[in-house]
Amino acid sequence: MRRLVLAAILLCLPLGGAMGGDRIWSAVVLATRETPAKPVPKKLADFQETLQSVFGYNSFYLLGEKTKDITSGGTEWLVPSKRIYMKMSILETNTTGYRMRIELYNNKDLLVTTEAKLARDAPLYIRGPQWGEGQIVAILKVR
Amino acid sequence: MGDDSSEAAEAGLLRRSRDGDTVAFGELITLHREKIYMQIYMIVRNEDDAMDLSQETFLRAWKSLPKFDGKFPLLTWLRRIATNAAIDLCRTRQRRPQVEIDGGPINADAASRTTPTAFERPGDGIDRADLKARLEAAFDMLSPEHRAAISLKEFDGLSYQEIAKATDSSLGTVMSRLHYARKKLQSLLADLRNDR
Amino acid sequence: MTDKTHDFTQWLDGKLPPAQAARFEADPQALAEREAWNQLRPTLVAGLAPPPLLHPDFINTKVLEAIEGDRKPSRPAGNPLLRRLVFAGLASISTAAVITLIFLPDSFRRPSESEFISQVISARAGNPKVSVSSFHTQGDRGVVIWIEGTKPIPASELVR
Repeated sequence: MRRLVLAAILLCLPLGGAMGGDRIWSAVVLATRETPAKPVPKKLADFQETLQSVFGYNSFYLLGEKTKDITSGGTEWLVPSKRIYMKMSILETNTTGYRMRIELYNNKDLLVTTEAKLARDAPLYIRGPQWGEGQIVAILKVR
Repeated sequence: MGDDSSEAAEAGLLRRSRDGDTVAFGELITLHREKIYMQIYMIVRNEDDAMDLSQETFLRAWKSLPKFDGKFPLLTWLRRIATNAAIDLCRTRQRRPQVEIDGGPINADAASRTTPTAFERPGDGIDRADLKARLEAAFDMLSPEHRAAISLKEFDGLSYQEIAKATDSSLGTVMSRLHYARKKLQSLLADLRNDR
Repeated sequence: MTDKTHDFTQWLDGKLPPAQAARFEADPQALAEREAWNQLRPTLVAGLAPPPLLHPDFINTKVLEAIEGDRKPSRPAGNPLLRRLVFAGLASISTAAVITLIFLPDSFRRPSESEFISQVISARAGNPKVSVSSFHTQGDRGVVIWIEGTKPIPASELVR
C-alpha cells in the first residue's frame, strides 16, 4: 500500500513545477575599494555581505544584469555585459534546484567552465579578472 | 573560379534551406551574419539592438524563403530585410543614450549608474574618446535612411546599384542621400579638419 | 534633387565619365569640397567602425531555436470529458499523496540539507596557467569559484 502511495507521490509531485516559474538572474559586478564607500545598489543588497567579506571590497557597481526563464535541456546565453557573459546549459532538474554547466567568457576568452548545482536562492559567485583597481565578479542566482 | 564555387555552394545551401533543412540555413547564417550585424549596427548604433535585429533578419528570411526569387544575390536580399528592420526600429524607438549600463528589462537604480568610465581618466584616452563621441553625435544626426546609404557606401564599399537594391530605393535616391549625408557630416565636423 | 547633385556625387566617388567630370575639375569650390571630404572620410571610417561581433554563434543559436519553436506542433484539443476525468483522477491521487505525506517518515519526505546549498561539482579554467578553486559562502548558502591568474582588463577599457 505504501509503495502504491509512494508511486502516486512520484507521479504527482510537481517535478515539472520545479522549473515552473524559475528564472536565472545573472549579473556582472565591478567591486572596488573606495573612500568613502559608495552606496550599494539595491539589486546587490542581497549579496553585499558575501561581496564584502569574501572579496574584500567596499563599493560595488552593477555593470549589467540579465534574467532568463530556465528551460530544461536548453542552452542559453546570459549576456549581462557585452564583454563578460555566460553560456548556460541545464543538465538536470530536481525539486530544490538545477545542475548546470556554465561557461564564463571575457570577450572571446573562455575563463572557466564549471558544472555546478545551483539551489534556488543560493548564488554562485565567480571571481573574474581584475579591472583597473577593481575586480569583476559574476553572480548567478536561481529565483 | 573561387567565386563560382562559393556561389554554387551557397545556391546548394539555399536549395536545402527551402526544403526545410535548418542545418543548411545555419550555414547560410554563418556566411552572412557578420555583414548583416555590421550593417544593422551602423544604422541603429547599438550592439544589443544590432544583435536582436540580426536574429530577426534571419528569422524573417527563413519565413520568406519561398518568396526569394533569386533575381539578385542572397546577401543583397538579406541586406534589404536588415535595412528595413533597422529603420523600423529607429522610427519606433528613441535611441538609447550613448553611455549607459545595460540594466536588462528593468532600469538599474541610481546608485548603479555611477560606473567609472574611460572618460574619467586623463590623458590621450580623453582625446580619442572625445573624437569618437563627436563623430558618433554627428552620425546620429543623420536619418536612419541616410546612415544606411552612407555606411553601405563608405564601410561596405557597395556600388550605387547594390545600395539601391539593399535599401529598396532608386539610384537617384541613393545618390541624393549620399550627397546630403556627406554635406551634413562635413558641416557638423568642419572644425575637426581645422584642428588636425 | 537635381542631376547636378547626382553628377557631383558620382564625381566625388570617381564614377563620372571624364567629359562630365571636367566641369567639376574646373570648379574651385567643387575641388575644395572633394578635398574636405577626402580628409574627413578616413576619420569617419576609423572612428565609426562597428565593434566586432563578439559571440556570432549566439545569432545562429537563437534563430534556429526560434525556427524549432515555430515548428513544434501545438497540442491537439483532445476530448474535454476525458481531460476532466484525468484531471479529477490526478486531483484525487494528489490529495491522497498530501495526506500520506504527513505520515511518511521524514527521510522519505525532506530533501537533505545539502540540496538547499549551491555546490560546484567541477571547474576548470580555459587557460592552463590559471588556477581555479571553490568554497562555500557563510550566510547565503552560496558558492564561490575563485579564479587566479587571469589577464587583467586594462583600466582604460570600459567594461559593459
